[in-house]
Amino acid sequence: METRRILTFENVAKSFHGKTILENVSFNVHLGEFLYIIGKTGSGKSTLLKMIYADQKPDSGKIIFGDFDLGNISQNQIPFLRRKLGIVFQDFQLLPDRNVYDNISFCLRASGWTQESKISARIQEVMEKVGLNGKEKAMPHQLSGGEQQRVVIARALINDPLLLIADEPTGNLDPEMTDTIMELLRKINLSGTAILMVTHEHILLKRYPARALHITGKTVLEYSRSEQLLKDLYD
Amino acid sequence: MTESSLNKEINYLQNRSRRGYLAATLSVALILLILALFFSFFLFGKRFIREHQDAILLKISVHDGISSGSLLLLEKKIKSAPYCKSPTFISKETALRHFIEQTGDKDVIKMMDGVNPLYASYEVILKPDYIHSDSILNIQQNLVKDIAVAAVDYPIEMVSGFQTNMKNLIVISLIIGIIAVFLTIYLVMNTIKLRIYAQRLSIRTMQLIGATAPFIRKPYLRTGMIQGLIAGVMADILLFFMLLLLFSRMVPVREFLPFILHIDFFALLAGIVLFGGLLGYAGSHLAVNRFLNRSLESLI
Repeated sequence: METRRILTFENVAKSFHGKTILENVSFNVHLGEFLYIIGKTGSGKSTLLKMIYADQKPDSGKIIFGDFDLGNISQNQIPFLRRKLGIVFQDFQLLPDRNVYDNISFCLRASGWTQESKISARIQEVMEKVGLNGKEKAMPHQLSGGEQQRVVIARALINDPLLLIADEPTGNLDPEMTDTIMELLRKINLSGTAILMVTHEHILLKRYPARALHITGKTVLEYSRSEQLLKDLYD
Repeated sequence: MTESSLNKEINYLQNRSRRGYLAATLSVALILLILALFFSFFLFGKRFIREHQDAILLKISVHDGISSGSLLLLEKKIKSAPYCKSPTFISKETALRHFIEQTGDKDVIKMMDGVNPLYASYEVILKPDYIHSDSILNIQQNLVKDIAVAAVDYPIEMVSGFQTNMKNLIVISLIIGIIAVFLTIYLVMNTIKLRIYAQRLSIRTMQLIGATAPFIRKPYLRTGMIQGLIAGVMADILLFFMLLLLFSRMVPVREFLPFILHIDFFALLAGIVLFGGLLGYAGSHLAVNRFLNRSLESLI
């Protein structure tokens, strides 16, 4: 049985200052899938993610996420698109002047939530999910890297997104914390959220196998299993 | 991290944030104070000149032996004239008494064989709009046609001096005023922009997690407006005490109080507060807009 397609790239091309970064990029992401994206520095991994959350537009081709045509999306529609996505950044990007609770509640308030009791209950739910109960009052700089990343994941999950985009979420973490975050992402994935994760750490592809995309030579090679990709890379 | 050290850290951060807010508010207040000082000097200058214009009297001398009917007609004509602020009738006797008071010469009647040589007259305080050489010349030419009028005199040098002073005050004030307003707008906007610049990356994060531009702007606009209003009130308080200090060294308190306890001055104080609020709001709006929809590369 084929699962629901939530993201489609069709012959997408993108260039910067006349230099082609990506061309003929085509792939799909289905609901509940886990998908790695790997590639060398400057290969266009982050650009590809930026096109998904409409921080950049494709030069040609088609990107469809849910009901949004990302090539023709208007500025007014972008916030509504981003509420259906969860974004996890390598450098966390938490609001430094707000505590954990306010960082997470910001997303809910921005989406139109007004009832404090409902906001509080929802935050408790995700805080429990990421294992950060009791840290609501802490300021971001008072947390370890792993804890900050879990706050970012909690924030990304708060609107119950269809797709969670993770741009090197373990890039700033030690191996132990990397495993904790990966376990958390797997758990989230098993609950039905699709995850698109960019990583440099090839060991993760072996330890947590999944479908994988390799950005090489300006385009994308698709692997149904990450182990196969590793085999092609290292053999 | 223990609960107490967490609270300590939070308190420290809150205090630091409050200090920054206060410093920015004080900067805006000082900028508004410069504007307020300029406008209060303009107001006081204008009122000082206006109050001294009452010294410009149009003296309408009337012929001796004129009938009371003709005198009454002349008085009616003067009182109903558009240029007349307040007329005062000076009889021949009063004129003589004033003359003796001013000169100390008590023998003037004896010297004139018992005849009072001075004319009875009307001393007219002119309305400000008519204190121009041309207007007064017209009034003079019109009045001398009346058979009851012997002569019309006015202090020519004072009139031209008043005109020049008013003109200079308006021109200089206009130039300095425009510069002061633009400088204030520029400096306040820049202060606000610097405050918001520190949060440019947070603004980008807010956008990336699905907040709309109006939602992001709202708290900045509220903070900016409140900051501007507080700065305006601070500028008003500083202005009041500065003027008090300045004038109390020059004139007794009761002499300058009417200048301060005046509707114009209260309007200026209210204007400074409102202008501060408006600048805070507009400055925040422009500053946040500047950092919206920007790429990360352009913000770093």
